[in-house]
Amino acid sequence: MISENLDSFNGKSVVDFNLDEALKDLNHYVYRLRIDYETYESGETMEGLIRSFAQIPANAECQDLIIGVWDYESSKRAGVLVQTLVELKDTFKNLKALFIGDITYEEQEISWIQQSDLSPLLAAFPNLELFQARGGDGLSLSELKHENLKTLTIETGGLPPNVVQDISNADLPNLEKLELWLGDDNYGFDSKVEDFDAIINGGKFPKLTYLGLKNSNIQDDIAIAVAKSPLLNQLHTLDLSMGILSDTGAQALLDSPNIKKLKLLKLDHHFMSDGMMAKMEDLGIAVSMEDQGSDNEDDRYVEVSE
Amino acid sequence: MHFLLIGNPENRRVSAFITEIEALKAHSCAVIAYKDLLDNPVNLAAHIRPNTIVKIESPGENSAVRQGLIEYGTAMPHNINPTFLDDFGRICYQDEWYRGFCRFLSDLKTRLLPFDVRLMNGIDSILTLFDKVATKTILIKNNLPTPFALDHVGDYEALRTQMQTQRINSVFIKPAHGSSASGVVAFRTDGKRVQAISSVELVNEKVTIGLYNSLKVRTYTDEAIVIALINSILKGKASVEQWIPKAAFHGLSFDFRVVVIAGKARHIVARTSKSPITNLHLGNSRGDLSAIMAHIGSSKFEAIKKVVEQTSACFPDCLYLGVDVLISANLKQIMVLEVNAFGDLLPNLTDAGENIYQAQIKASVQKWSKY
Repeated sequence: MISENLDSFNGKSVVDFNLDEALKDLNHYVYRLRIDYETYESGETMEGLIRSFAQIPANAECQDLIIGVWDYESSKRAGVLVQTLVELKDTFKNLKALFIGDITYEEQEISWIQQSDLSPLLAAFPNLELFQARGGDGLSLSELKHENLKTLTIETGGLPPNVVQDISNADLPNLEKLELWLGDDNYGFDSKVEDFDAIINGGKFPKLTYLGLKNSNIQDDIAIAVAKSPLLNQLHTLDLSMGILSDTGAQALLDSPNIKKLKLLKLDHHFMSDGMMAKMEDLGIAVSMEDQGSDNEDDRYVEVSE
Repeated sequence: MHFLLIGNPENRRVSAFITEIEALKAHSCAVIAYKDLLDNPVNLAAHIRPNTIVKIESPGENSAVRQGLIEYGTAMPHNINPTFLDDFGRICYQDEWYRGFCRFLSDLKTRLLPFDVRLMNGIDSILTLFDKVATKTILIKNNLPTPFALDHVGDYEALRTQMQTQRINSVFIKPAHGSSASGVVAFRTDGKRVQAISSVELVNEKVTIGLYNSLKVRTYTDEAIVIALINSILKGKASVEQWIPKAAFHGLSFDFRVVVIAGKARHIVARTSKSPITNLHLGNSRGDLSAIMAHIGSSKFEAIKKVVEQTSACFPDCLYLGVDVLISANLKQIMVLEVNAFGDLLPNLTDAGENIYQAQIKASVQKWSKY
């Protein structure tokens, strides 16, 4: 469950954009555009807010932008705001970091967020280096192709199979960090570990140093597959947190000859036994293992789903 | 001064207050038990001295008193199912309880009339404050900011219709006479899916379903269960209001319980929670108030105190109140959520060197020393 909006993004402090407030120094601040419940009821739209924001010359220079909640009724897909941003591509030509969907569970559950095809944004903003999105419903990245993108983060409570496919087909030669929240079968995840083969074993991302395949119902399978992958030779961080990792997956990681090449192994929110955690401690690399879950197998759940 | 408590003597509210009185050595103190007042013809005169101040405490956490009030509130006590009352945590007879509490306190008011006593909190206000619908009406009438209320919501279907008409996608449903989040449901829909978050646990029985208070906040997404839950709550009197997303800090959403004493906002706790239901007994905890104050800014914090003081002015016969206030996720809106006549149980909390009971005693002496 995501209960808080971002405080910082891409190394800068996040502030909500208000038309009537003094402008912030964009070297230190990132604006988040969001439709409050009260302005939502009075009919304000994200498209309108984006346009108002873009009309301020200083803002048009922004390198970073966050889109927060745009809808409280799951009645509006992201497509309309995506279209608006694309139309304003010459205004926001400096954009380097973009997040679509900084939305808390109280604003809208992650599975209720109405996404759409976000790849037009990648085409429209060639200088993007960081792209992040939250919500799997309706999500696609049909033309996942970008020369400069270094970081791609997709947060869902259930990553739909078409997105797994889109990422498997991606052309992102400079990608350094990939983070995917796979989620739960009840909320749209419907893939097997084999479906991640292109990502794990395909040598798709030659510059990748951070891989997060996390928040997963098949976290053990993912761990077993990654443990065997040559990808470990190039990663500094492997993030398998937030899922239902048990001793089975953890043992595969321990047994991997390449696991010690990592600088950091993130396994927070896990279901490993105390004994397995002790073995992990002795691995000789940094391992984070906060939030140990119940040892009852019926009481295991991914961190973010609904 | 002589302080006379009406309460459950075994309860920590009573013992902690007596401890403070005794420590001061300047005042005397006596307790009349709810149970005795319910069962026996207590001779009030024997407990009242010159300069008596009456503090009516919560009747809660005593099953015999609860049963006594429920029976006192129903015309047909034989219709009360004793197994329901003995069934730990079962939510039942809340409206009957309130009627009994009204009748009990009205009797007490009449019996106190001949005596020259002062009440810390007046009986009329206590009864209003134990009706969330009536309290809300007073807040609205006095232009205090409070979440939009939906009226005449008799069942789930009416709720959905009203929400659609008002373009509200999320609401809180609170039994009018409940306390400690008992029976509270946070409900929302996007038109297709539904979700109800509540500490109520549903137990299927032969004909009906049983509703139980639990210490775990659950999320229900099966509409049949959500309908059963909400219709059960709406059978009794309930307050339905818009659910306003609360501000969050370090991953936890928060609101404030502010204790007002003699018109001044005094003792404050930030209640932080992973769920929209922030009551402290549900695994939630007091947050770092100074860090949260810094987060929202001092002008917002002063604005919260002002709203709370204005709220207390709506209940001029109350020396103290516990007011629950939220600040919205965008840090713009301040909203009064609840006003509690017995909202003063916050142990180990001090303001200007005084705990809440010490502050109440001092305020009583200041207010009534001339009488």
